[in-house]
Amino acid sequence: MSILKNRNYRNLLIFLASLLCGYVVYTLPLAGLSEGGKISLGIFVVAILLWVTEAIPIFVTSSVILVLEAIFLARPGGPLNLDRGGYEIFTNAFSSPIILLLLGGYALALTVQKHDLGSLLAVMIIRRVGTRPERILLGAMTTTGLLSMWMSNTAATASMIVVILPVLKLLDDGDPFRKALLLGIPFSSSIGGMGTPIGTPPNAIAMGLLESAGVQISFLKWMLIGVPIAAVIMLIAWRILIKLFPCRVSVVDFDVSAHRSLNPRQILVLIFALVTILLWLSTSLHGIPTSIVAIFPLIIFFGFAFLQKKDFSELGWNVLIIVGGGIALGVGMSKSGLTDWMVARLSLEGLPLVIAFLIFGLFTMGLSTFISNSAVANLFLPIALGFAMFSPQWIGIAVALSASLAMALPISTPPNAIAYGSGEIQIKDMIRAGGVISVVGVITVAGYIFILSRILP
Amino acid sequence: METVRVEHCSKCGHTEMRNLFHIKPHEDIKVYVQCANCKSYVCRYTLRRYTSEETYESLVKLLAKKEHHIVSGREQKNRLEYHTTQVEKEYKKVVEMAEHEDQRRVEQIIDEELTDEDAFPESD
Repeated sequence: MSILKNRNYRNLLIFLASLLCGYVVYTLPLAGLSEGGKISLGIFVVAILLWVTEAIPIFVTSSVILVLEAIFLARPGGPLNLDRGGYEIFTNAFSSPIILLLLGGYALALTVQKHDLGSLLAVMIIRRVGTRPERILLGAMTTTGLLSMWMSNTAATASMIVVILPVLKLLDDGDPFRKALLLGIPFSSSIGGMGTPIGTPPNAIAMGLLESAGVQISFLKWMLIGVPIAAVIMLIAWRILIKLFPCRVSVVDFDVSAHRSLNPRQILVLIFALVTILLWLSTSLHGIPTSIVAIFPLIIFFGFAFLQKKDFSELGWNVLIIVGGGIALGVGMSKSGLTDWMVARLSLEGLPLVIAFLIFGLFTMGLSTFISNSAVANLFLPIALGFAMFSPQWIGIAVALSASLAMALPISTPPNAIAYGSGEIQIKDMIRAGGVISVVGVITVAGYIFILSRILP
Repeated sequence: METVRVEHCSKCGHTEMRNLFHIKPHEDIKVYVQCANCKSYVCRYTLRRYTSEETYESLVKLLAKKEHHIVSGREQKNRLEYHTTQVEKEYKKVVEMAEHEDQRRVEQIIDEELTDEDAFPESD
């Protein structure tokens, strides 16, 4: 029993048990599933168990997936009938253009943060919103959403909480509006992350899987789809928070910080960042792939000492491995026939398309409430993309966006955990506000994607 | 080996100190310790991380300064809980241990008990 109390031993047991469960599932007599499909299903089960339990870090599970696929699926003459070197169909996932895009995005975000530009932007906007509580909340949420499109949701949340701390200090301890502020910020960071392919890992995973299926979505196209829906859901969330946690005073007279003008280094960082974003948005004009444009921030910021060598380790390598692992899992499920087998057993024929979008959205959001949304995207996107009734692009985007709408619990997202850590939010507050916003958000996404799928190719 | 030493002034033996934080752009923050009694120089140390009694505020400021690619809400929650409660727990423990403080000088403890890595670990 004392061994079980030791966390490392417990995690080792869970890890071994997951492998064993995967093997047991592989041995089950499942009609219609090929040898490759059974192996893939066993790997899928291992992935689910490890991602749900987090017995090992999430990115390590992605590595486990790669190793299991390379050894059992890709062996020469094995179930996929590949030659020596056939395992590269899985390792290629880790050199997907999406990985480069994310890497460049992280370099850009890190440089912006290290030069305090995120905080400066936040202060600039908040100073201008006035003193009415509703406007302060909307300003804080909008700023957080904008930041989280380009930097990690965690960093955007933390940056904004720091900025509004002076506002919190002006409110009475029992004023419900404190909760509105502390919930609005993490919620809007999750919502804002929907707006760009690099805003949150599920978006990148969706793009990577779609690309491996031959469907290209440009950076601009994703933003044209993601930003409007993010804005709408942000407004809905804002109204819900105002309603649930009204402010007891009509004016909050605050002064967030002394005005600071940009120094030359900050101006240069801003210019390079904006140029990079413009290049990402204008790929169709200049022809340079977004993944290659993403290398420019690496060259500029590391090459000219905006970032130091030690900053290289902060570039979100764990997320790159998670995304790579998700793409590899999807490739394995597709090549082995597992996706087709699963899809054939989940009959959605005859269901109206908008209802089908809704079911997928609610299921994704529901699962993401309890486990990492990146893990849910990795597990669920390959299955969703296998349904012939959907255009892969639209179901991929719908699932990715829905994965960002899990907000009901502190463990749903790292930003939620940060807000909860303040001690001011009770779980029932988060369930009430986050639960409503999550469901309304998914319904909005389902309807929006359905309409877009009808009017756009 | 875990131990606690209360800083003493080498000139007058007092334990009441003034901590002077020297903050310069592009340099590590240095803390100069001055004896509150005889005003002599006692020691200097370099700050790696500062956590005030407002631990949540300190932690959020730290999160805002660095990119943290934590994808698990569960992991973030555990880290925050650990940080906000751990500082207080460790403080209470150190105050208790100080009742039976190590009599060696700090430099002696560092030389005798710690390797360079132990004494000056890589930043996390």
